[in-house]
Amino acid sequence: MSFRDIVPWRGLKKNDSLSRRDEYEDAFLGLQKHVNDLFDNFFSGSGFGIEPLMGRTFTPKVDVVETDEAIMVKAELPGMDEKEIDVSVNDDSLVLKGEKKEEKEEKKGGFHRVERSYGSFYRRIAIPAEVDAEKVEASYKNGVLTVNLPKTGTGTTKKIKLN
Amino acid sequence: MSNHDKEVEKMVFVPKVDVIEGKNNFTLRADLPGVVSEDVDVNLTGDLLTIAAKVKEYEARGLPMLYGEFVTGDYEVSFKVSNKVDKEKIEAELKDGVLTLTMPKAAEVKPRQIKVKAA
Repeated sequence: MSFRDIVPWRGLKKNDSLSRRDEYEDAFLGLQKHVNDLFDNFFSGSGFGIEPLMGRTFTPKVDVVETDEAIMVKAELPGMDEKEIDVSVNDDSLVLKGEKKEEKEEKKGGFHRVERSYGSFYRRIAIPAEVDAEKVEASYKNGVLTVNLPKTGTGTTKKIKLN
Repeated sequence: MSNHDKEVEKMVFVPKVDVIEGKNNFTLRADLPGVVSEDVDVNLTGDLLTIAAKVKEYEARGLPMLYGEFVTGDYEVSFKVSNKVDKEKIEAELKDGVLTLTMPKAAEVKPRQIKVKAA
């Protein structure tokens, strides 16, 4: 459960990603994120900073760029198996989901430092223009997922005159 | 290009790192999304292991961003490598944006059974 889920006056979940803009780049928001993480961990019943082994989730960071022809989505997903990434498009949103499994190896001596994210992820990104679902292309390279969503002609901006 | 863009180009991030100890090796993994193997430098100077990686110019820069959650920048992180590691035998591999360093344990810290000879 994320801290946002228990804040009742938050809007639609679909727009969640809009509020995440550059939160790591801003010192104050960075602090807020940290506090939110403490709450997240507390309310998920796992205590402070210790995540349960089962049911772990993470949120990949996403950049969305719009050009005249297309909308391009990039998600940072280092160390994924291509087969574990699921990309789908419906009416007005792009859904990225999947699971990042931990690398298999013996852990006899234990963990000295764990900062990377594992578990399942789910992101729904609102698409602000009409796109041709048939022509959507996705590729995974160097740990970055790129999804290219070509716009259909009907979605182009039209200026409205004021009467 | 505005000054702001130039500032962004110079940004350097500390990658997220896992260090796991196995029986014979320490394994270090660093998340370096968007990096290709030619652009990673792993250097060991004395005890100091430095990982530096450059990210190629992000092709979308300058276009209107609808959401921007990650800033493209370079990565750098340093570690002090203890005597437990055999520094001559460190191996590095980059795959899918993850750098894996395999650091074999030095012979003196490996568990070793000493055979008792019958006299």
